Amino acid sequence: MRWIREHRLATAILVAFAALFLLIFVSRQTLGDDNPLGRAVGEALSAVEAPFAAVGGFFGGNLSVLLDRGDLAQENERLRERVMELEKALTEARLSATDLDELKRLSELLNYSGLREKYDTVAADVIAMDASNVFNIFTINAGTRDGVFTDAVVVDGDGLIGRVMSVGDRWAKVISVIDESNKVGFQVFRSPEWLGVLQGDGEGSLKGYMLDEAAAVREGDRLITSGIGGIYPQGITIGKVVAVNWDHDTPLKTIEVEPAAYFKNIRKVSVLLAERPQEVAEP
Amino acid sequence: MRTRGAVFFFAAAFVIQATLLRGAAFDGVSPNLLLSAAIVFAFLYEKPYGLALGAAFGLLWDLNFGIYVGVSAISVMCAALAMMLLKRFLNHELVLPALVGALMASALNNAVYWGIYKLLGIPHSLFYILKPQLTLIAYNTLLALALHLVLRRGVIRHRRDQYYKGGFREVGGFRFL
Repeated sequence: MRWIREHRLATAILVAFAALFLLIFVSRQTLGDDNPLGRAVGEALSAVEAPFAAVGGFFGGNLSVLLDRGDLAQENERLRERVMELEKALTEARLSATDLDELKRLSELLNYSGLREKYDTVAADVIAMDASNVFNIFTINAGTRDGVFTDAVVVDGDGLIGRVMSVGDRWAKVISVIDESNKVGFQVFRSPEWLGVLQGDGEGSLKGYMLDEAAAVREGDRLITSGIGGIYPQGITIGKVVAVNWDHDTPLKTIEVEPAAYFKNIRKVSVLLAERPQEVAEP
Repeated sequence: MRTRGAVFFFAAAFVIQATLLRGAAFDGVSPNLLLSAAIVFAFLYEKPYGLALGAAFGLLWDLNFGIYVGVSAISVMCAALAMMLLKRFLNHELVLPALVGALMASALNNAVYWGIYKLLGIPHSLFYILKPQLTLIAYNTLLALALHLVLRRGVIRHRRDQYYKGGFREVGGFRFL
């Protein structure tokens, strides 16, 4: 007791360390459970963070915009939109009506209708982001009142982002697919019968293997989610294959995949909610 | 600085860190203002602001962003403790000791953070963690240095007057605030 009285700071530090390690242990045991304290903090912080995030968004997400690149960034955005319009016009001009019908029929057969047509979605802004530079975890300004739920799938214009880790009334915490060891079922866009499984490789990318060793997957192939065995529904772009290897030990055809989404600068996302009932075609 | 002021400073750092600073990311790496504040407060002030507030806001950070609660708090506490120890041997008025201290504390923080998460079983490899470290440590050090230059004006009165002893107490030949 005397030692404690004489070394108050040291005692406080030791107690704090012990309490924090205990907290880590408890949070590990209850991972994924609803955490009332976390929810309360999330609610309070999301209210504070939203206006700041809006200010951050106003400056275009880059300090350089404050200096002299503001006009360039805006012009770049306009030009990108124009390029997309022109590419669409070009595609439509090249494809005949018959081709388009055929493509539509194929996409229906393969269940590749757009995610936004298949699912109710809610758009959300990223209002805060983890600064650990290890994980890609961020908070969005949509929560249970918008229909968001735990494990809801999050995408952006480029492709798969991840899933909702925890959710509050007006906010949700999202973890990226590369930060987890959860497995993601995929299929090769070029040849949808080629299936496989991916997971985060611990290097900021994804690694996986083909279920069929004879699948002739090659570098540059685009991968989409297969909807098999997991929380991710079919048809979301995951990324492209950057390396194909043959593992003699397993033996499996392994692949390395570069994610389509750039996780370091996410501003807007869509959360997939309930699947819309599909209209049954007249026989 | 009063406790109220320090709490306000850390609260502002917390919000700015989560929202505005991601816009200052260089090559996907953003600086850690909360850590820099903890480092500088631990180095400059006699009261353990950096340690206590760093731990408290690190805990808040974990609740808001972490996979597990408590990891950031522990790593920030380690960095703040390192700075408190360094303060005993280095002159905290000067820029160079602050620079060296901030560099070491930032590296220590990152090592502890990754080490605990690795023990808890994250998939990230050491190579992946090391990749942004150079940028991150440099960024954090510069931020801590900037904070040091701003905050030391309020801490050390008449800094250039070598005869001014006000505000210091001498213990074992070392001058403490």
